[in-house]
Amino acid sequence: MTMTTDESTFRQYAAELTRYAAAIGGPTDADDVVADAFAAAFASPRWSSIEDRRAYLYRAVLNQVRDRHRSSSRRQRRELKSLDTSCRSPDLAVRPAVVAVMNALTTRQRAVLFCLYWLDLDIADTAQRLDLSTRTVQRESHTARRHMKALFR
Amino acid sequence: MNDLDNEIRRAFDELVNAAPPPPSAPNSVVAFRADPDPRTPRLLAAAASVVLVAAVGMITYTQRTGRSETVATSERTAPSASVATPPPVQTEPPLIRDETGGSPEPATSVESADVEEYEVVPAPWLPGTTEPVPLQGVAYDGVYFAYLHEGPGPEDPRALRFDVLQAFSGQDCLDRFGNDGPGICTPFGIATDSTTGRLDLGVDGTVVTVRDVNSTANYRISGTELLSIINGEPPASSAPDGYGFSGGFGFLLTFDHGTLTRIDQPGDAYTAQQ
Repeated sequence: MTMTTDESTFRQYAAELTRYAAAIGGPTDADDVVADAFAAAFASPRWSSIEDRRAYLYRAVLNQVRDRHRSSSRRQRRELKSLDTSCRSPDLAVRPAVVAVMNALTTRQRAVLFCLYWLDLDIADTAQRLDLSTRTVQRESHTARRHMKALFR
Repeated sequence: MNDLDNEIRRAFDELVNAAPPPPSAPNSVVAFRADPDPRTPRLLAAAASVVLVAAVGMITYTQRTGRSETVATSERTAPSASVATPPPVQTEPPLIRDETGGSPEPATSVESADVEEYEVVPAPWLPGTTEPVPLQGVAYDGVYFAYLHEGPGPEDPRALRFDVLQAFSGQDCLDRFGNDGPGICTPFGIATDSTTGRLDLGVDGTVVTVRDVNSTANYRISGTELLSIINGEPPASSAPDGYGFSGGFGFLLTFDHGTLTRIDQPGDAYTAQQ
């Protein structure tokens, strides 16, 4: 059986996008975020003409994370409560302090830091992956580091 | 590599290691392409564009409600002493409604007169330095800079949760941040070593001015309208064509001895005035 292009793309990037979604939006529903991002991408009339599909999907995941932050405050409240030290879910190895620090950053700042620090991309590659200017990447990184420096102190 | 770099990598390690398996079956995804409704791609694209415009900043959403009493809890986050120690969160007595039986100074929102939604108004005055987050038990008084909190919202659906930070603009900002200033002061620079305050504020009786993300015009709206658009509902019918809201501009919160008197969006390229 021959895989369609979309299936191939899905299999190629689903795992790394799930890690990315967990890093910038939290692990609980990272798989749903990625599924929705693929759905939105595949349904887009632009999809067939996209050259850098990986970068496009990174942006789609970022948008999904932002969308969920906007629309699911009730669920987030429940999730964050589950990460509270008093009722921390045993299968989530994320310190509440990490959640607190990440909440202090914007979604885009988290995405930038993830590319720079976890994917070890340089400024130019991070800009390309996230469809940002290098100046924006530098600024977001700088601002995010300042925030984190204060919070980790 | 310094300690901060290590902490950042460690934080992402924790989040990534806690990630669930990727969605396994592409069926649901591929099935989307078989949607016979030709409107679907356009609707999705339109929805994505709305998300891009509306979700620039740190936004916490609440349900749209009617008139509210101002309810607030306040907490301060302060740097901890060690890099390896999670930052402590200190909870202040609520400044507006004391739920613990104490008697904090009241901070209530001012009832606005009848507001004609989306009346064009001048850009708000932008202080060179906003007030620092007050010490525990001290009422907010003056102009503060705040973002909508990104994360869980307040329990009261009529309230908005703000993260208050001291901000600098114009020459104050350039003086504060030195060589980094030109890249930071656009128009606000925020000192990361300053305290962050968290406020839950009822806003539906408060006069609000918002910045149009598309035209950069400023409009006066009611607090109720602010709650509504932050909740994702379309702007009122009196909104100008093309009006777009973004929480990314941040907000100037003006208090008079603990009483919230107005909320203004300063925009992203406004020149400080005196």
